[in-house]
Amino acid sequence: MGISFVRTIILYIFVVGAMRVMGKRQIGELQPSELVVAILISELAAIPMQETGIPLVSGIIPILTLIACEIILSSITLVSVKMRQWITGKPSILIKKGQIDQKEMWRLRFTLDDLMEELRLCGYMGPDEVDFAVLETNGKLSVFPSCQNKPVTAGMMNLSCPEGGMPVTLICDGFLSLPSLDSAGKDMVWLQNTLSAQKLLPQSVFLMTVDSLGKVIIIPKETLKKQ
Amino acid sequence: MKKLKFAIATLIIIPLVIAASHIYLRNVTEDMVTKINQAEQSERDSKTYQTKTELDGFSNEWSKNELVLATFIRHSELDIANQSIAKLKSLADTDDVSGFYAECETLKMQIRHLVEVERFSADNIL
Repeated sequence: MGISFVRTIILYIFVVGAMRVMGKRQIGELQPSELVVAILISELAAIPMQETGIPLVSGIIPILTLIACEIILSSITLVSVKMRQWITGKPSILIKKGQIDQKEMWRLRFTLDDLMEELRLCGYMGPDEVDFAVLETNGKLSVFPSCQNKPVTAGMMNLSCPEGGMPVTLICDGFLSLPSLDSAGKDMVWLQNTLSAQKLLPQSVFLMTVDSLGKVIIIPKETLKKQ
Repeated sequence: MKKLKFAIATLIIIPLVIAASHIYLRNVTEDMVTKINQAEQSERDSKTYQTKTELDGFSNEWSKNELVLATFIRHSELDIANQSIAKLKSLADTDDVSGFYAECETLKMQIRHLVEVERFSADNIL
């Protein structure tokens, strides 16, 4: 039991590190090869975790090999377009100018129910509301509405609107991030002045953000009473 | 680029580690089999005390090697060898000569089997 516990901790740290090395795509949307690696890694880690008679190395070596192969493969796909198309496939157009491409759907074994479900999830009732629908290589459907179904934008209305900046989190749950303060182009004096104007200390702030326009959002911490 | 270097280095290091483990395993098993043969020969020459001394030496060396072997060999395989060693010592203590010879062969086969299961061969891969 104790051995399983220690092995589980070692493999947990190892697999978390492995997923971190492979990058963010493994955590979000998976390409076919990445899905294979993710499934295999979980299996490879589970076997030596439970079977104490199997050397830990016999789980670690295959995981390391898979990570290395995956990194090399993704590097190759980055350089070679042909390899990329061969490994990850190409996006497929399922709806073109409101018309469903039945041949393509048959080829992809994508049912009409699947298509309608995806359209509803995107907020469209039927293919007639859609200009293009593209099945991406990660299995997600990108839907582009027809002109009359497009939401009105400020550009269409010839309205001018201020450019919004990306907000930077300066204080998160009472913890000040100095690198974020630097990247926002602010200093400690500005921070202290901003907070003292609201009679706050950094540790009493739940969230503080600032965007490139200088718009500051401060949410003070709520004092939670024991129930 | 950093990750690619890591990946290439990993794919180079892993075969090297595997090769090193194979060399170590082959050397250890050859050494162990030689020691069993020596003990067996001593028993055939009726040098009972020498047989027991050689068996103790073999057992001590096996214990040291077992720590390393356990990092890449299935523990069940090593357990079988451990059982055989314990049996061999007992047979030597009770002067059961025929049983001792038979167990020597079993132990040698089991130790050679450790190399066999790790060998790059079609039957192991398939």
